Amino acid sequence: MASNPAFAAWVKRCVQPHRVPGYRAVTLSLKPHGKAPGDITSEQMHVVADLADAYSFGELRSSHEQNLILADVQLSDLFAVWEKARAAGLATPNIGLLTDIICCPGGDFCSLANAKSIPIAEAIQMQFDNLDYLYEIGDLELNISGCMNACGHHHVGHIGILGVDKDGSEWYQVTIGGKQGNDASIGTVIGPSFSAEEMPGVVKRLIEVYVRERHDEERFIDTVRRLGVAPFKAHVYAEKETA
Amino acid sequence: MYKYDPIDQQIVNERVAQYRDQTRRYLAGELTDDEYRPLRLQNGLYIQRHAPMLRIAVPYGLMSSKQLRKLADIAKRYDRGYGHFSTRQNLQLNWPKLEDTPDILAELATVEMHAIQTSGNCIRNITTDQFAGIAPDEIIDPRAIAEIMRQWSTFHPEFALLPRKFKIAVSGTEKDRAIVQAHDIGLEFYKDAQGQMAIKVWVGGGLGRTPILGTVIREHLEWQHVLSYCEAVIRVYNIHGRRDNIYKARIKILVKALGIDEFRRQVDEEWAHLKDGPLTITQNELDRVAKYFEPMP
Ligand code: SF4
Repeated sequence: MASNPAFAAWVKRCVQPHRVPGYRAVTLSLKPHGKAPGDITSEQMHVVADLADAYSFGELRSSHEQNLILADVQLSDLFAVWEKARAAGLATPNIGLLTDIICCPGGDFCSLANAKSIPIAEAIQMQFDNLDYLYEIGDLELNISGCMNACGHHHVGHIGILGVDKDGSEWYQVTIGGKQGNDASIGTVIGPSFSAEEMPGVVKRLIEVYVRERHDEERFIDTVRRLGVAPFKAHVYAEKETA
Repeated sequence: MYKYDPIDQQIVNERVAQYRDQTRRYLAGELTDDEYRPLRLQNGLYIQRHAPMLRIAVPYGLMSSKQLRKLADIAKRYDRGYGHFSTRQNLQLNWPKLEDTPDILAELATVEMHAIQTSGNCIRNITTDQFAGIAPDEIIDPRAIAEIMRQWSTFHPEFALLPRKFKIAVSGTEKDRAIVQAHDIGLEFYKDAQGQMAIKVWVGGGLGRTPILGTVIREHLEWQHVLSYCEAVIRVYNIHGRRDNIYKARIKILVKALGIDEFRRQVDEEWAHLKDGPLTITQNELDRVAKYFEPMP
């Protein structure tokens, strides 16, 4: 594994613990950068079905994070699974990272939408299309909904993005500090909404504050909980005014 | 994973035949848009911005390779060669043709799948942790109870027209990867002091326009009573939930309006009639269903 950094990176992000020794769960990422989160082609579905048959007792699971999981893979099969998944574009090593975005279909498909969500997800993924930087940022959940129905669970995203309609055009309201889990919380709105073009820059500035302020090993959500929204807000909107 | 018995298969097949006839009558102009709308919605078919959208149920996110291959073939043959996994673990097809949907549902039925109750104001697909049954931090595997609840909620006659949609999530871990606190009912499974499987019941959580995390309505529910208890909760909601304002129709608004203590009192009153009745889950039934979820390795 040491001799294959790409495989090592995948194991670190996409392989999850299993209660039976010698087994692991594998998360197949449906979040390659620049594609609609959660989308999968017929060809990829066949690859996943074949992987499930060969390595995971013929079963698989979908997650609310919009990825697929092979739940019962033997340790010794991980390399083979990785090679096949990678060839099919299902091994982006970004599970739990900023680009593992939860995203509803939004204005591209949904009649209820106030704004598009998929292009925002894609633009953010392209802004952060650097795995080393993503690893440095670490665990971060970014969730996008195209309207307040919240199918994209934006309220519980560490960073949440909500499409809003202002006089017939598409704007985005940003929250931070939301979290899923047994210590769940609803995010706080940082201020006035942004245009689509501004969104990748807004996320970039939120991350800048985090990288500047974080303590050792502190996750984004914990930094937000410790500091509150003020420093994030200040940086995002200060840049906006001078821009 | 769970396998349909002949009764499961029969009701799904009958539903396909019924829907085929409804769609035929609609296309022949015998049913109006308004008449057809609830019928198609009961079968997961929305009319979206550009095209219909069909939402296929993946109960608690568990699929076989055979089912996934069928989904792949359906997407290829009837759609544009791809599908979209939603945040409720279901699969959505974005471009099916309305006239093809009866055939799609017939194909799905051959692999024990359907699109029933994936939309409309009913109990929706029950969601759970994607690592159920294998996670080292899991205390109870909730899938057997989730399956029993799926059977109870499917075609539940009393809850076919609730004030609004109703979402249930189950989880048996300390961390909770199923966002149980953001659901109309969240069931958190744990082992009680006697070492028995018990459930902490959250109610009135939800995101949407008024995001609210759930409140614990019952700290300790014996698993045998989970159906009767949920039935009592949903019955109180069905009677008193608001139908005059879609934005105030979810159970979370009712729970806030009444206060959790009053809501609990009404649920307990209702539950008194239901508890220990036919909805009680026996050890035999739990064991029978749990066999489908035995550990793989
Ligand atoms: S959040 Fe709104 S835009 Fe997105 S899928 Fe749900 S209803 Fe549609």
